[in-house]
Amino acid sequence: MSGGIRAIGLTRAFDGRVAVEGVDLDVAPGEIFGYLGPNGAGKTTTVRVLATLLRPTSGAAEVAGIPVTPQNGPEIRRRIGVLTENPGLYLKLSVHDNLQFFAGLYGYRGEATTARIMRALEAVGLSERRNQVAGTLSKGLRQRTAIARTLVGEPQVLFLDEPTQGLDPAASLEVREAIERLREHGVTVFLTTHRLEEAERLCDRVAIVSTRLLTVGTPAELRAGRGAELEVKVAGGLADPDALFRSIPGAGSWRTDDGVYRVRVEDPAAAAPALARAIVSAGGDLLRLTDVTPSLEEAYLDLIGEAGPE
Amino acid sequence: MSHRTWVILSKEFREYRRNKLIVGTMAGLPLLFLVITLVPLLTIPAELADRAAGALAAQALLLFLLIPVVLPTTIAAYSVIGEREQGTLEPLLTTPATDREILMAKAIAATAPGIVLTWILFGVFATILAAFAQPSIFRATVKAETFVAVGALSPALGVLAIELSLMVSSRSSDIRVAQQLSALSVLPAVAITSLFAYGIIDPSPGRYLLVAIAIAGVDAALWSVVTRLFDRERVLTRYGG
Repeated sequence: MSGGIRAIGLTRAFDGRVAVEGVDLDVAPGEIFGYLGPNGAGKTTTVRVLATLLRPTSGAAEVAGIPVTPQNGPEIRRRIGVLTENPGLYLKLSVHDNLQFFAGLYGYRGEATTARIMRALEAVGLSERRNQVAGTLSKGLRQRTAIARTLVGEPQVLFLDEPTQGLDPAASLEVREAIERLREHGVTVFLTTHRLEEAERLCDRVAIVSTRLLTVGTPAELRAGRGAELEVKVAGGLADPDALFRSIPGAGSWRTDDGVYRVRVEDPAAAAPALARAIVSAGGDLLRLTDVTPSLEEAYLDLIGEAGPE
Repeated sequence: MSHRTWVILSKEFREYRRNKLIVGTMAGLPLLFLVITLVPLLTIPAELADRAAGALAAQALLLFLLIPVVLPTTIAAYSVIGEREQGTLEPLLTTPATDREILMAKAIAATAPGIVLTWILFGVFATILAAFAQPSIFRATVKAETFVAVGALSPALGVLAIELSLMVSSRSSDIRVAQQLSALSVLPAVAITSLFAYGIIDPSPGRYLLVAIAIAGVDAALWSVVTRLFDRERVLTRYGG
């Protein structure tokens, strides 16, 4: 499976504290894969294990078709790029010199290096800044330079660890656009984040983790997996909402907040007309009936809540 | 030397040139040593020169042997801590560069400037003495054994100090402890230098050369220990990226 990532039962513990537990992954070549989880969920540790910086305590993994072992470290690192949480630029060197240094570490020299640097800078829209000293760049530009740095080795797999952490909305947008451009290059991207809108916008599939892997799917699948809901507003409320909602075929649990009811249903298209009729028959004045599909954020919070504190 | 070692080494030197602290240390410390060494040799009254020449020459040699020992540990401290503070250590470790290549580049980058500066400084020192010192002082200070000591023993001692410093850094779990213990890595070099400077080992070109070869042998043996002790996982998890 050249260019992808596979893990089976990947586990890493530090002095008895488990940071990553039994994670199974199968990321296809060219896929942008989101790895979502709260702080301390083991996202950075997973990246470090897959990037051969940390040894797994147990389990196995393959990156770009190569088994993750200490012996294969240099071979795997030749095929990957890693954006660490901190941009990690040499602040006294120019953007070009930073990239030239890393290109050299990937074994490139001469004209080939210059061409690679230019391609990497173009990929993140930074060609004009190549001679600027890294220490004088804004946070967003530093992060884009760091992404360009990960591209100079023309990696098959790219690990981006919290690429927009600590950035303001404008800088975050710049970085997200840079990541979107990577799709054109066919690179497999493993993106860790706790920004759900970022994952929803960028990723083909997302995994939600909290030390353990809780679920994997496309953002649409994860939203759907939490069940559809109908939102109902009735003037003056309902006399016996529990009996009324139980009478609707395919309706499940319900909750109310400030006179608005939310009813979980299997099929909103079938349940909505039945619900409207039932409310009117019960003498309720129906003000609003809406199909409410849960957001990825709600699906995420449900899953993390169910997983409980680690 | 591998291409990657050369790439890291070149980057280190580019960074040194742009760092006022490093440039200041490299220029200031040896100059201070030079002044401390020259003043007594140039100001000693003629009637005392013959009697004091031997002791003053020994003192001068001690300082010249210490420059390549003290300077690398100062620069190495910046080299490693600087990477950590800039957050560049983890990106460096994610590249195909091996532990051996990274260590080799860091060791050469830290040691080479001290050795070259010592040689240049000794040239300046000898020239000034030839021009301005009493002839007896010049004869006692600039002689064959001094050239062998500065030319061969001082690099071997510099490499020994940096290897000990790297070994301490690799096994320490706290960066501050590593820094403090690294300062102790100059002690073996100081001890060996003192044996000659204070006449416990009778100085001669042959003896200096023999000791230099022996220390070079120890350096070579220690290098494999240094590379085996280096654990990138420990560096990453204990010191941070």
